[in-house]
Amino acid sequence: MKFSCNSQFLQKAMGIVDKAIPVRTSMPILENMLIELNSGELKLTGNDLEIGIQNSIRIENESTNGSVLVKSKILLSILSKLQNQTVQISVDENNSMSLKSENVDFDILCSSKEGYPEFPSLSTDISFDVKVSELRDLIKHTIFSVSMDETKQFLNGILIKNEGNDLFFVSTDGYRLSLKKHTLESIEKEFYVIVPYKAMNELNKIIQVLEPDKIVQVKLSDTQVSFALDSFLMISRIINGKFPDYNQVLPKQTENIFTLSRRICLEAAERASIIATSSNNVVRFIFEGDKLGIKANAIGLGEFYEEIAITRISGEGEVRVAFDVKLLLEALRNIESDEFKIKCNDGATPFMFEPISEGDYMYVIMPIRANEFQPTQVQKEQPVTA
Amino acid sequence: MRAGYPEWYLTRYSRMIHLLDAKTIHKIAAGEVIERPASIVKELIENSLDAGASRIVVEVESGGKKHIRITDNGSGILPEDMPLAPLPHATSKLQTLDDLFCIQSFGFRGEALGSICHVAHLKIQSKTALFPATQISAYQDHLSSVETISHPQGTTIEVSDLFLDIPVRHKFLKSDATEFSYIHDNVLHFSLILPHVEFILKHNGKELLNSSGITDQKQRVSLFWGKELFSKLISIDFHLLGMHFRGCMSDPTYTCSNRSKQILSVNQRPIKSSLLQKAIQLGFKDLIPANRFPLIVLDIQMPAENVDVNVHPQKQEVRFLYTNQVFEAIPKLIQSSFNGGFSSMDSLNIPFEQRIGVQSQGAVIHTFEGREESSFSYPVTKIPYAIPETLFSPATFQEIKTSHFEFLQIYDTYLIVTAGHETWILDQHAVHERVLYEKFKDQSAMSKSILQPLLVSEIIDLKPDLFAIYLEQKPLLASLGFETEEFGPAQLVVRSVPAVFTLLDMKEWLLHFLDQSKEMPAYTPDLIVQQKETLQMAACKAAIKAGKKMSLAETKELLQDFIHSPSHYTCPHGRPLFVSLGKTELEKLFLRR
Repeated sequence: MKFSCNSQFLQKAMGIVDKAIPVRTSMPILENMLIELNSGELKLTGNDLEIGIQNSIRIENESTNGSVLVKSKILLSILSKLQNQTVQISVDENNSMSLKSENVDFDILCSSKEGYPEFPSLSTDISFDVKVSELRDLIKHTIFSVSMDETKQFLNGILIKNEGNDLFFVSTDGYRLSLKKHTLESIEKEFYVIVPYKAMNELNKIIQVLEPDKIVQVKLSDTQVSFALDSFLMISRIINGKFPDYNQVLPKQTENIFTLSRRICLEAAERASIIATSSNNVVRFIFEGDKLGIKANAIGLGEFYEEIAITRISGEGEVRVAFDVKLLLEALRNIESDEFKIKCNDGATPFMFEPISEGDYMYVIMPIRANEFQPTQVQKEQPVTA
Repeated sequence: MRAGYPEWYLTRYSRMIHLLDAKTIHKIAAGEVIERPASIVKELIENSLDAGASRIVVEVESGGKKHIRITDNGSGILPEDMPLAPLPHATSKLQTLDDLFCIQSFGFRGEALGSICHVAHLKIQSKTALFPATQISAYQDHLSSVETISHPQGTTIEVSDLFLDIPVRHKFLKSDATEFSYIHDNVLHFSLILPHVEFILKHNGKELLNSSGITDQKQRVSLFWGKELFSKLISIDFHLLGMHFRGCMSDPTYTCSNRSKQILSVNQRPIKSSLLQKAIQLGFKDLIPANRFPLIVLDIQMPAENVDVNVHPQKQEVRFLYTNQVFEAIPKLIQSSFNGGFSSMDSLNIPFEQRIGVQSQGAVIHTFEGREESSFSYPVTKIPYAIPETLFSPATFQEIKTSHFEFLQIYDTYLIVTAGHETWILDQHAVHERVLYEKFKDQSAMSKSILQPLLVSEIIDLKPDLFAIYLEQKPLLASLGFETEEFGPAQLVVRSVPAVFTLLDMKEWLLHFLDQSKEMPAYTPDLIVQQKETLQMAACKAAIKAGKKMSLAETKELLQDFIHSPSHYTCPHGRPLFVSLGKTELEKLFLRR
């Protein structure tokens, strides 16, 4: 195998594949990247047996075909230390890679591709196309709610499903739930898969730099899911298990509906969190008339109170509720419209947060049940003598 | 009647039921009581104690296999009782069945001597105060006649040739050294539990243990386990819930790799109890490193009717009538012994006394003997903490507060503080970490009432045994903030968890909790301990680091916080906070003494 190309260009292509190469593994062969060159197409493959990524680049100038396994981290470190110059890479029959630039000469021991796991292929006829920008949106709105509790496998990913032509991304950690909807032109078959957090997170990072209008083809089978665009392909296993029936937790009817400014509410919540982080993240909302009082209080630290203006669309009377401020902030940061809606019944049932206009995003949060705030002064315990 | 069956069938399956002969019955019964030489020593020491002896000499040969002789200065056996003594079920201690439920003495079944003479040769010599000395020997069913001899007041019992005609038992005895070590353990345990009795143990003529002249328990502990221990021992002396807990334990800076230095007794009877061991471990929860065990010698005095010792043939196990109280009291009294305060005691509810009608003594707590607890007060807090003896005395603290004091920081990590005749070397990071940890713990405890209901309820599958436990423990779970309901025949559904618990794995925790409750009905989980690691991490991160230069004001502040902190011995990971170096020790180092 022999070819030459720009070091930065190669580094970028490899950086994408490296996301699927494990740092610690009991199978050392997986720490390698598979490099295959076939009539000008340089195909890079990484596979940690959970997700696999393939990425191809064109080699324009003269090249000889071949394949080799090389330690991914080593090659990437080398490339990162060669500032934007042309490198000549050749691999001899002993699997020794020589990497030359102007004054630099590396000789790296590699191995043949024997024993490297075969890249999985997906045999399925279920697929749909989304734009990069739309996929980014879908992932961004749901990935933060994924549960990291490893004992609950079925919550460790994003549920991707459809209802007719509506595509849904749903995630929950048991305390809150995010649901993002996107309507496609046509979906032929029903699907319902849970894609692991890791795959979604890596994909999210990779597509950040891509052109928003490009089309990603998503294919789904019973065991795997793939995301393909141009020369890039990612395949991930899917999580076996049943996602909880989230429709049950969505309030069917809500008595109270308020609208308010997202920015003002977010800023107030951020101020509240300064105090709330010292007291189990508890922040209190008191909806009354056209005002929302936001309160936080920490024993031994102090108090916070702020009032912001709201518009009441329906319902009457006072609503008092307590939230985990972290869960609240995540919701407010991910709502994109300037105004948003809060729908609720009372302080003990789920609250829904929605952007004002389109009904394609929904964030449901379970309030905390807490007694009224205690005084901030530390109570001195009196000794009890009998 | 058995006709028609093939012969092989009859030989294999139709063994006829018949009564064992008397000899076999005796051997089986004796075998349960007497397992090895150490069991004989234990039985005979108990007899001596029941006879009121204040001095017991144990002499053994060849690990006790060949010869055991126990001499005491107790009340002795009357000449006319002598022929009865070696008979099975002959005793002076139990009169009627009712006495069995209220056992005040160590022995009660009349089995010791009766069992011994079925497995070994037995010779008894005894003298009471008013009658002449007599002796009798016995082997199996053969009794010699009673002879008059010369013997000082008390009883000498000689046992020789143990298991000589029971080859099975004899074969299973271990080496002389091992068998002796068991005997040594037994004598050691008795001598620690009963500091007012003198014990002397000789093996093959060599004196290996002698506690005569030392009547202080702590002194005895340091005699047997090392002099350097003495300063690390803390006395335990609490009247609580109608029980009297007495003994001593090591402070958390001293730990062992196993439980061999945990000696427990109930009404001065040495016992083995995994329940008490767990309770002790709980008391030391965040004070010592994981998998280390404290030294403790603890005797629980309780009304004899509240404890059943007739559970185990060797009387090593007991049953408590009020298991919960015992289990609950121990961690609290351990904590209180360190903190010397009332604070952790007042949470102990006292329904016990009303229930059994014990005269209420209230929760009067005697901490360190001879210390007045409430006589000093600090400007910062009103709680009268008792500072452990080894640490800064309140007076020195006042001195530190008001006047100039000497301190030196070395390696930017250790503080050397001198006050009075003591010098302390403190690890600034560890000290601050402990102070913060205690503070975080308090804060965390205050927010216990905040619940986080689950948006998606969690269903947990249980085995039928745990499900039954769950139904029993449901109210307790609810009081901790876990709202649960039964769901199907062996499932439960969790509706809400304590807010501080949202990041922990609730399924694993609940299963662990139910397992623990099955084992120990009184188990009350401490959520704080569950969060120990999180709190430790927070404390560790927030604490000043090793390598930071300290100013006088900072040092004063740290020492002040330290003295007020409820825990003084180790950092939350179990490392020591300080070492002290007295003037005397320094003088010794420089050979001035």
